[in-house]
Amino acid sequence: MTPEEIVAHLQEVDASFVERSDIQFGQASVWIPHHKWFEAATHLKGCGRCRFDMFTFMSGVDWPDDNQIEVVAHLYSVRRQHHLNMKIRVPRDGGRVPTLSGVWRGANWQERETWELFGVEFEGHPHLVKLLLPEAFEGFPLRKDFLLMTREAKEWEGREEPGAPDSSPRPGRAPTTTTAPDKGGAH
Amino acid sequence: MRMGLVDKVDVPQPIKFVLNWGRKYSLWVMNFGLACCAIELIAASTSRHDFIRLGVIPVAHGPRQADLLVVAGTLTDKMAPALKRVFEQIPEPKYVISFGSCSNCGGPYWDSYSVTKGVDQIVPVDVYVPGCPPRPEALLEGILRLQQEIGKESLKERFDRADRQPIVVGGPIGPVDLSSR
Amino acid sequence: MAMTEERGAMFPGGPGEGMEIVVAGEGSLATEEMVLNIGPQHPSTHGVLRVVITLDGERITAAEPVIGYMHRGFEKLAEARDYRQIIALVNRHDWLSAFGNEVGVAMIVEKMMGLEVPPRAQWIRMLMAEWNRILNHLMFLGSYGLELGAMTPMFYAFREREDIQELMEAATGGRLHFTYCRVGGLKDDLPKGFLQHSQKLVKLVRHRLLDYAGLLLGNQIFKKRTVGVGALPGEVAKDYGVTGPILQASGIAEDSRLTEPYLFYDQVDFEVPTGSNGDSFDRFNVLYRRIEQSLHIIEQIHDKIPAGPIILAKLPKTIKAPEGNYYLRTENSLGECGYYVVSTGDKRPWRMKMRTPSFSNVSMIPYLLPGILVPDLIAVLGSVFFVVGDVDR
Repeated sequence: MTPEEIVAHLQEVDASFVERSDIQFGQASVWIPHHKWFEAATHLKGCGRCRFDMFTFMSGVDWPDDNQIEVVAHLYSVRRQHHLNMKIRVPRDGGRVPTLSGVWRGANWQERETWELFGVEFEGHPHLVKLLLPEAFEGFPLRKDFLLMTREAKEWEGREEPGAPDSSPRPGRAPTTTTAPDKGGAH
Repeated sequence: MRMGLVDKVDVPQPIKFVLNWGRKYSLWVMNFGLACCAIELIAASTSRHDFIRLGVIPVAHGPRQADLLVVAGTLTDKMAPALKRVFEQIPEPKYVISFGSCSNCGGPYWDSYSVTKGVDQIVPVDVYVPGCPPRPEALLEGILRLQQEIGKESLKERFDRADRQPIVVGGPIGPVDLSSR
Repeated sequence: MAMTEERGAMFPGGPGEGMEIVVAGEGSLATEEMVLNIGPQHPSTHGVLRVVITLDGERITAAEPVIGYMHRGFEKLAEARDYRQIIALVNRHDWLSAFGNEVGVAMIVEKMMGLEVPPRAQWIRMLMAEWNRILNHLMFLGSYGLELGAMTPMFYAFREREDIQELMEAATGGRLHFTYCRVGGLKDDLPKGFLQHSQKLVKLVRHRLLDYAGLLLGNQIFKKRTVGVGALPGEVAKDYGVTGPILQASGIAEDSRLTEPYLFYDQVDFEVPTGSNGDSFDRFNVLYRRIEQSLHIIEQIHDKIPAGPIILAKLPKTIKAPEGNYYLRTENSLGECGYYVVSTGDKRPWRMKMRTPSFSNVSMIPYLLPGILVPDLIAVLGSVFFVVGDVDR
């Protein structure tokens, strides 16, 4: 099915599945409300026309201006060879999403990773513990307010663009003009 | 950790020569291959580059049977306790080669939140081999220079010494003054 | 009298008739489960993966992989770097076939910007990607043999790898991390004599590949240790998101080079080898046949590379992807490697998620290991082809 057909099909099955939809560069994304998240996922896996049998990945995108985190789950169908992005926006503090690990087994680890990197809780997840980070790690690294401390503490010693002057002169070299360097830190 | 007479006393030159010669040509290596540099480490042990001919044999079945620890690859904060533990289990006299820029100083991951910027924060390093990844020939040079140093060293001085003068492959020949770092 | 009766009880058929031994069935002997920790530092080439297994005697009842010992925070670092720096960083994930990772980043930025890469650059990207696939698979052919106790395949694998790395070094300058791709094409053109060298190497590798078949594939001990061990059904594999040779060995011929051809894979002719049982032998066999297919593709590429520019003549001074988000997947050596980029129009991505094949491949270990015996553990664990940099990023 083409991206437009997938979105139309979902809206046909249950109009409340699709809060909003978008097609970018030929790929469909649907925003699904919280109370329909699990139902929509079950339909997408089970329905004969959709048959999304592979859970490609799940991750989050931090939008600090809206104070929201957007959780993205990408699905793929091996049989029908089409893609879909399932998205949901949750508030940054206390955002909760129902778990999909009952629908696709691959969602288990992906959700654990999204939780430990973003802080989005998954209701009903069987084993929500840290996966990649050490136990003692505090904070949610992929949020935009988690700064990379090394970049804050130390200037980037090299050049930003070829031909630009050095941002911090090395010993033994004549000092160059001081243009305020773009730190390149986390936004 | 002093073992016996040899470590406490400055041994006369002929005996020291023979003991050092024995030690430097039988450095059994404990591969602490973590990341991409481990592949170059293994490539250095296979037939084209072959560090086994220098006496450095990678068949140490565990840290207790090794003399040399080669840390190759990025060390993360989660892995650092394991490295410390393995290092402590190797009996003296032991040497550490830091292979690759991730283990020298953090490398391309210098600003990461989960990477230890340099294994010298965890273990004392004798040879730094820079590169990303370094060529196997660079490892061979590091081993050869380490062997030269072992040939000249006296164990009493090694255990007495508070500071260390590590070898940097590709740097100036001789001990490097790291006080300006 | 009493003694004979007692003796009669022990030897029911009478002395000389043989003992009847009653073996305690499962569960009737009181046993305690033992937790065994494998890793994170262990002598296999797979790197820092830790598996915590719970044993009941010799049988594994539960397995839990603990990952994260190589988590370097790539996705956070990608937000602080522009696309050229990301290409340099991204080939350190699947470090056995580094070029494959770079191609994905370059392709997604080009797709979002709508750039048309010159055909010569695309053909050469395919050539490099296929040689990288062979590099990766050769490593696993060697290391799997080593884990089962055969030392020779390891040395043979590295002999081939050194020859191929020499070829790649002639064009890119690097033995392991190439940084050859650029957004809009490639860094440099191929040196003179590269294609002849590549053709000779194809014949050489094809000839030497027979050594592996002789040493391992036909070997009775190898077959007894791997056939029927660690079978993974195709539906379960799809559910976990497993892709690449492991999925193909379970019978499902899903390969994004065929289903959604990128670069010029629709103009070359190749097949996707599949296995029938999904056991360790099939996974190994699929790797072997994939090398043969890659060699076939490389030969076809040699005939088809056109002359022309190697990079777009008019590239903007700073590469900025337009606003939007997109997911692009490529068939890396270990499976589906994809990039999900969310861009706000800046020269750095707002969010770059790297979907790596080994993460999903390792996530099915809690399904695969329970029920097998400890002696088969290494045979199964070694056949799940993964690279730890890919798992943890």
